Amino acid sequence: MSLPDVSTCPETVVAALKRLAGVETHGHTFYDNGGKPTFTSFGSLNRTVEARARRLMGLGLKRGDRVGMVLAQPMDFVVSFFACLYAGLVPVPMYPPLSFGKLDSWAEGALGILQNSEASLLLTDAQLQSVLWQVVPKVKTLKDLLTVEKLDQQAADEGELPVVRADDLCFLQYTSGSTSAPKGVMVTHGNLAANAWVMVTEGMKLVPFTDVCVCWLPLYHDMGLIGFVVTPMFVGAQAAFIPTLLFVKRPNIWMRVMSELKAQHSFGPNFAFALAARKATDADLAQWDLSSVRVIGCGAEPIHADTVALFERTMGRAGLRPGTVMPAYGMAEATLAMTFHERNSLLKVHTLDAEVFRAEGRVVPPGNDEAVLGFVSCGKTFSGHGVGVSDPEGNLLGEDLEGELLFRGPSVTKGYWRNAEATEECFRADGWLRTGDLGFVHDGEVYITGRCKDLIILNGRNHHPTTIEWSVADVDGVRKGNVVAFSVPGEESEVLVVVCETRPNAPEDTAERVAASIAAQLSLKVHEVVLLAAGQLPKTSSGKLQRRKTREQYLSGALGSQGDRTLGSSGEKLTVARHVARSLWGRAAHTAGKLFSRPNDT
Amino acid sequence: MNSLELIKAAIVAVDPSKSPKLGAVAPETEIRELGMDSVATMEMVGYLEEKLDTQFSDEVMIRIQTFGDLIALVEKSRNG
Repeated sequence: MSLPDVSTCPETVVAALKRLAGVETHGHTFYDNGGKPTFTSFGSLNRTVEARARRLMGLGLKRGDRVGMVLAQPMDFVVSFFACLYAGLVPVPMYPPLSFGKLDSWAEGALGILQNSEASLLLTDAQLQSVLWQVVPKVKTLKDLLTVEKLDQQAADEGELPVVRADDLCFLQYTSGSTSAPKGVMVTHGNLAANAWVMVTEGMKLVPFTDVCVCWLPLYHDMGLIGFVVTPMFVGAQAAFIPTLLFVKRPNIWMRVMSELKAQHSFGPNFAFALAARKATDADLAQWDLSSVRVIGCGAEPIHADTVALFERTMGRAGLRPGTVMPAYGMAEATLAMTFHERNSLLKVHTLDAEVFRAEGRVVPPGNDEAVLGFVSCGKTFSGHGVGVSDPEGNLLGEDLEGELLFRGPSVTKGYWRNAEATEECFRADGWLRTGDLGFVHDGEVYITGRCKDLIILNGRNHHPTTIEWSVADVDGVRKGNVVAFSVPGEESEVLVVVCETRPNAPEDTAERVAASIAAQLSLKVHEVVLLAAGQLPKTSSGKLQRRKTREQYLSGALGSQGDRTLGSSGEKLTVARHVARSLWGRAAHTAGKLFSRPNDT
Repeated sequence: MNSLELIKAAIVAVDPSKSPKLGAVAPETEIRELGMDSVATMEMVGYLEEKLDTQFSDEVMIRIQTFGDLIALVEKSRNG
């Protein structure tokens, strides 16, 4: 049987999967919780998807109705996601509880998304349904909660499947870590096809019916979903899906599957590279063959060049080529990808004069004796898309000037679901998307230098500093409202630092109790708690806390009266040039390693 | 090795810096109080699963809050 022609971009991902309906020789591999693989051909997948779509249609939902999905198993997720699209429904992927306890706060998050999206149906699995029933009565629009097992027993609607068009809303991508009401990014079929196609042809350069992509990323998140569930479908590239929890519990499965399937592509946030390198044994490395791997994308949290180097060095023993790890830059509001670093090349670093850059935001070559900063390139954008930079007033700036990074093109989504205010703030009327990241463009390549907002990214998840700061408000001895949280580069990945002003009579173990309070409420590990006397936190003239300045003082050791102490164990690392890149799954920073640290700093 | 000792060994394997805090652990102590993040927590579960040659279901795991809960889970897996 011959394979279909996939040399053109189909109008929608639905058309992409239907184009593969006759393919029985190629398909996806789904791993279960025990690591057992099941192969499903594209033909079989199409049939299963259509059958489930007909059962969804049989429930009497209206076209465009939202369907919340809390599905931890990749097979359940992939089939249900496409079934919603086939049936003309709008899936709303939601994150399942992934750790111990705190089910109440997780359920609260789920409730917020269900209410905001006005979901009509909630799909889950037999294991998670008991946790979800409690939220059902609180969502007025919700008609039912169904497990996929139960859905598959419903009566099928044998009528015509709806025709799906590029302008139709495809799904809602809720952005993570928000303290305010959740925001659902409206991704149309046209956005999705545009972004998937440039990733296929220019970013990942997938070879049809040949390449294999391995994904353990959560599929409710943009990178897992678009990078691996959607994009390979456009050209019949095969994917292997590993449950996220299985990877975290047994990290070796990632490279083992890459080796077994002779895979070409994968992706991970910084922490995953550290974890994989740490857990690989000599026996593993002797057994694995990673010579087929072409690109492993890196993003979602600050990237540390040291970690990437350790990963490439470790896996190099199993045949991984240097330069395989590739930074990428993107965000949910841009569907996913905005730029890709050049493939199979070592991280490209642009050096500039530190003084001129800090004082004037201008990128000029370094003078002979001047301090040097180096930033890692996130690469160029794709054809049909553009990148730009604006000043705080919104005026466009030319190359080599620092400002807020902007993005435009057919991948820019339609804004936030039923949130005109937030949409107006982020999506400019002239078509530019505001990224919230600081950076500059040099020779068409994007360099990220910082964040306009003070978002903290730990293990690939976004945290607003206020959430962390509020969680210690009631700790005895802490001056309420005088707490600042930020992240700094640690040994492997970003670590959390919390600075508090304390009362004169504060108990001796205040720092321990601040850390314990954050751990108990947010499950976050605090790297260091710095206690200051009243009035030592940097503030604006109007008394507003200055997070960025606090962080700078911490890094330079100038914070409060405890300047020397604050440098801590990772002090010497903090002198290196720092590069922030919001990457495919969020925001990311790159440290250029020891290359730029001045010799006498330690 | 009793179940609590096994759990402590799992925690130390994942994050040796937690060792001094483990002396004061009681069944009603919440696991979160140790200040491990969710990735480290699941790494610790992976260690336990490997040692016990078992696999905890998601449904059971997400309901665990205290050391007592985890001890009960380990005991159940040892006896089952």
